[in-house]
Amino acid sequence: MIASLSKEQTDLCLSRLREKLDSLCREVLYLNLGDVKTVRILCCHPDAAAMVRRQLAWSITSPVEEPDATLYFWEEAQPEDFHRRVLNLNFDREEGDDFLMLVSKEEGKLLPFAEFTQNGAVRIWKDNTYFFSAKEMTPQALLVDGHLFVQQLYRIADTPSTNLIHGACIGLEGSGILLCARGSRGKSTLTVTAMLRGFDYVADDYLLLEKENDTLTASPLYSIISLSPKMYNTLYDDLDKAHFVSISPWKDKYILDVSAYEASVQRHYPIRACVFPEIVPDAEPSVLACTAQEKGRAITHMIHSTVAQMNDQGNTRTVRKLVEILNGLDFYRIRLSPDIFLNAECLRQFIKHLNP
Amino acid sequence: MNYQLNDAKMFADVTDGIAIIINSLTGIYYGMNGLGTGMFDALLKGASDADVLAAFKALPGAPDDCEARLQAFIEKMKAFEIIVPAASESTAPVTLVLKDAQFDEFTPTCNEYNDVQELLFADPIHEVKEDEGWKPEK
Repeated sequence: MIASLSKEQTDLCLSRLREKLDSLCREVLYLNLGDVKTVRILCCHPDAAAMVRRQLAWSITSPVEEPDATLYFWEEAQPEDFHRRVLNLNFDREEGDDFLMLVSKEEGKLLPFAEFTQNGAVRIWKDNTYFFSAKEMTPQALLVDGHLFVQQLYRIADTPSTNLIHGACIGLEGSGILLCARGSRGKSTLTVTAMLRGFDYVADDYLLLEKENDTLTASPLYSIISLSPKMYNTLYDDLDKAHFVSISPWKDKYILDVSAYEASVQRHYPIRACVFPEIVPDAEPSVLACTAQEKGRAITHMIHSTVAQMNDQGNTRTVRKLVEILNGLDFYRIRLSPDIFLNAECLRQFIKHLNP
Repeated sequence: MNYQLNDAKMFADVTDGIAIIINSLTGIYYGMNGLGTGMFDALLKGASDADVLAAFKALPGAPDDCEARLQAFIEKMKAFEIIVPAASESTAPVTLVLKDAQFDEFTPTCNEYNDVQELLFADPIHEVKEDEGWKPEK
């Protein structure tokens, strides 16, 4: 269901919300998104700051005088009647429809500004202020819609030369590789294995891409990784510095806090190529250059997996920007063998070959 | 007639049975339903429109106007500049998924996602009045 409000009603909703949350604020944290944008997070729940630290340790920074954005973070145990109880909006939600969007009617245009998701979360945004609630302040509940704040950080970090994307990045000696793949294609396993084998590490799932002049770089945002239970067990002894955060809401992945691996982490890491992993039964892993058609498919996949997760398919400006950024890269396929450490060595040889 | 991807400006991928196409020049994003994806994929793999039509007609429960539905779909893809006539003729086997066709009511579709306003207007908007709010009709 979509409900439209006048601009005055919208402004009134936001001031009611601010009033409620300002009184609940326990701690303020600041994030630095790849030196591109800064965010002030008002933690309006006793456990909120700990939850942010658990996922975004590598982005937390010292206080900033004029942050680019502000994000309120709180627990809303009864989101069903939140619009009535907190925003004072007098209407009933349609029976059976557990999604509600509020749009603001301004100068004849409808501007979405609030979503009440099927998972019981409240997401509100206006200009540079974001409001983010969870039904429960628990690690698992905070992963229901993906990594914490990922859609909000995507919007905040969107500049003409930067974009948050869905993908992984590792490298060696200043030569970074973007890794993108569909689910269960070995991306996370390859990334984590490479990190444990001494590669430079940027990100496992989401990263910030920045293109300046002709140089493309990647920076991390999150300090968590996701591994299938099988791979978690395989790598258990090697991951001695990782902390278990949660099982994913779909129970198919374990989420681990790897913030203790800070020494491996690289920021503004130059990207040399993009590699698509695919699992094959071959005994030996190998890397092959993509054909033009395969490259087109790969770029489409990368953009789709980013914009679809961010609910941003209609944003032609972002899509054009991502096409331009990615089209300048060489694309390869890595055929992964069942031996995960051999795969990491294959990638090491490939990167050395790229960077003689 | 054979068609190919207009690769001067279009990138395409099939993810989880759904075709996604991106116009690299405009940033406009296109999506297809399952039946449309099957037909588009077959065309890109060298099947002619006649091959696709034969497979469409062979589906149990296929409507009488299969040809018109396929042609409307092809014309839409041409209008979006997703496909262009191929330089050479070819033929290839076509497998369309009956479950997709039934789910899509035997109508292949291709949609453009280029305007948030259009996406919003696709749903009914309920205006919230200052005094009485909005109540769903019983």
